[in-house]
Amino acid sequence: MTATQQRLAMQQPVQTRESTAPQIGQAAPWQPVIRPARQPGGDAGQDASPRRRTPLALVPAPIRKSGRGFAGLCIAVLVAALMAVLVTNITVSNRQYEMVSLKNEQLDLSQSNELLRQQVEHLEAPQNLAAEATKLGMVNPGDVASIDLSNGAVTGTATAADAEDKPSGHVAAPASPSEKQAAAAAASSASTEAEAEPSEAVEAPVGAGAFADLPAPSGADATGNGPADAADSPAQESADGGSDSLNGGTIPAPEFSASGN
Amino acid sequence: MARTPGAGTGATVDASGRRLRLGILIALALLVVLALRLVVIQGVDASGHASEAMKERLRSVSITPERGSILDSQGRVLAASVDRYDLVADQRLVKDYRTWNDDTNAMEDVALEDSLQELSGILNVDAAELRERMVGDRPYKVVMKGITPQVKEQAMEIGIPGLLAEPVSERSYPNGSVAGSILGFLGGDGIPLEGLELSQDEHLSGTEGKRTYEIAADGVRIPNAEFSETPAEDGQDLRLTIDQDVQWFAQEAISRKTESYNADWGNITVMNAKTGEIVAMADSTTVDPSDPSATDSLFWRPTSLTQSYEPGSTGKISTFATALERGGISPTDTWTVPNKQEFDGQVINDSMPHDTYDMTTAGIFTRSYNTGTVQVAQTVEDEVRYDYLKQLGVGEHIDVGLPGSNKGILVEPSQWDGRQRFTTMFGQGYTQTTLHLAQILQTVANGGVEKQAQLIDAYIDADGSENVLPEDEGTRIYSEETSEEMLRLMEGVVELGTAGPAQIPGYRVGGKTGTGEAAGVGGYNGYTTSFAGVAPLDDPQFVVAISVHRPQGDWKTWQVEDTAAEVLSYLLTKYNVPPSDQEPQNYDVFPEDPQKRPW
Repeated sequence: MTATQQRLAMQQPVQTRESTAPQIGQAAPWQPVIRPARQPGGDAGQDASPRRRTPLALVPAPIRKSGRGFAGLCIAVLVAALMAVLVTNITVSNRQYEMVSLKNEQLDLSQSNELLRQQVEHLEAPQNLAAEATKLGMVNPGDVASIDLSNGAVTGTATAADAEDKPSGHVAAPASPSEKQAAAAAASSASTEAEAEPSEAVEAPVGAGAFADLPAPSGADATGNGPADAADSPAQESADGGSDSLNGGTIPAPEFSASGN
Repeated sequence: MARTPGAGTGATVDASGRRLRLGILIALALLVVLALRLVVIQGVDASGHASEAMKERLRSVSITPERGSILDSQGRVLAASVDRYDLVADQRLVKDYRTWNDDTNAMEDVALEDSLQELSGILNVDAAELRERMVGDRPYKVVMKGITPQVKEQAMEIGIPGLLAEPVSERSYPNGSVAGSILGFLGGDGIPLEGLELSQDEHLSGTEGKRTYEIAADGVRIPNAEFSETPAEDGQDLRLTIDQDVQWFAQEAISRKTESYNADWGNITVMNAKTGEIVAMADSTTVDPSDPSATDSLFWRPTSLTQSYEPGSTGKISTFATALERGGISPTDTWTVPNKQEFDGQVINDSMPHDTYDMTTAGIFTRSYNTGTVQVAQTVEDEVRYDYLKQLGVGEHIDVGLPGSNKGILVEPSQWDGRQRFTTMFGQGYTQTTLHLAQILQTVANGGVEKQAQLIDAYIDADGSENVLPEDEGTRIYSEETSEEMLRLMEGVVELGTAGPAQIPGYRVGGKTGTGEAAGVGGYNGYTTSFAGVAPLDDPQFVVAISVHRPQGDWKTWQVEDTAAEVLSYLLTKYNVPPSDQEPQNYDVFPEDPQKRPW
């Protein structure tokens, strides 16, 4: 539309000369010459008197208005872009923190799961099952008889179990997962603590509460609580493996160790 | 820009104009510097700088695959990998430190000595010992290896500077020594050393992956930047044919038996008669894979697989089966069996003096008389007997996927000396393992069709898909008729012969005992007593082969068939094989009554 207007304006410079020529020097494309072009017919009698006023009064206004709008638009776009960048940055870094948290949580859960699995496996070990059964007063079974459900026939003769026929315990019981921990052997308190820990971790819901149970990254004392004094920070950072594990940053890298199923 | 100073000169030169010009000059100079720097960076060694910058940002992490588990036939875990940590100290950093106290909301000084005391409680290591490991000027010193994640957390919570935890993977064997010799073990550095861990390492270990990504200066990974990840391929799980309960039961049984005879070692192999799957392979002493050095290295591998011996009378199973198959004789043919008899200049005698009897073929087997056995065996050529033994696997490795199998010694008939011709008939003069014995009985019990012994049932991929190993199609060695006759022959051994204690009420059981002379330094100087049993005879399900090497005491008191019966009985109950209450179908020992005669 504008292109057409401009062309039209150049074809009819005379009509506007009187009002604008002294300032501009020649018919400029932005000059408000469109009005005659827009009036192909009709009110010719009224044209004579408002012709001078029309370009002066009406036309510059839209020009100024659109200019201001454009600047506003530019600023708005700029602000929007900046905001977008800001929001993106905040989101991205938040996601990174979240990811590290989740990775640590996953590790924690898989490890507590692993401990529980080990405890189950330990209790399921035939030696332990036999020992537990013996403790409950169970003995090896006597001869069995069976009933054929299709014809009701009973085969075999069941005999009572011998009260002394117990597993010999020749095969040593496996060391329990907590026994294997060097720590657990220290005191019974240590082992109960280790056993209590996984249930706590499992019960914790996945959410804000669970984060509190996350394994504190070493050196979190310094980084997490902010006001670590200057002399302390380097030592703490080094405790984390220094720049290697943090890569110069403040987020502890997630541990990529193989996790248990 | 260039026009502006020009315009200035046209106008009155004042202080602000000068300042403007100066500012512009400075800006220009700076611009020039920047431009030059740009040229240096982009023009002189653009790719070099770019790659250097990339190197700065790029991080490459190898992803360790998880080692596959080893499962028993019911999917219970026999070996699995678990997360562990090594605590290491950078001794240069270990010193008194300050830490944030949550209770008082203030920093407080912590003396290293207090922290070490606390750590010593957690790790159960003497504080002095701990100080030795942690205080010094070495940048890397292992404080404690293989601690659990829970202990690691407690240790790291103390917050001693310079103390780090490195994640490592360790192998856990939840059943201790149950099936330990089959599973094998890893060395301290994670290198497989024995058993399935070694032979199946290729399947278990998986493929290492790699993750490459760019990180920003603040340590956060740059999103949308170069990133590549080759995921680690976790190792395959291994499902065995072993049942850990049966394995445990067999280990208990053989351990008790071996101990009661004060023998060197003993072993039991339990095989599925129909498929050749090994259900248990137990030793009197078994290595605990968590602590292999505590056990004699003889027991690092299943002795059923690695130890060969002269089988003695259990060797008569193949002798009689071959004679029935190829010698044109029947179980009820009559033979005259003296206590001592000369064949081609070789005097063969029985272990105990007895009258000369007229006996059936089955009767000779039932009472295990050597003189009669030689007569029966002579109905077939030596070469034929040799061929059958060879086909049954004697003198050949039995490959069940474990290292160190012993193939036994079986020389060709052309190299047999005058006596060996006869001794091979009753199980002397060649050697085999307990696994061979189980395989022979499996063949006889399975209608004469040999199914190769199998230990690995399936490989299970990380995604859970199972690659079940195809079952052996089987090789027919004896006819079904021979197989049936042999089962009745073996039932006679249990009902009327040398293996009375092998009886299981309600079931028909067959088997054969054997006491072979064991060769040592300077000739025979001990015995190996063995038994191979099968049940139920109506529809053979399980084969149990058992041997005890060099038991002490009087050979007449040795019996291992009761242990075999114990294991068989356990198997039948566990696998819900109902008792049949069928009458025994053994052959008569003597063609004419009375059947009960002195031995």
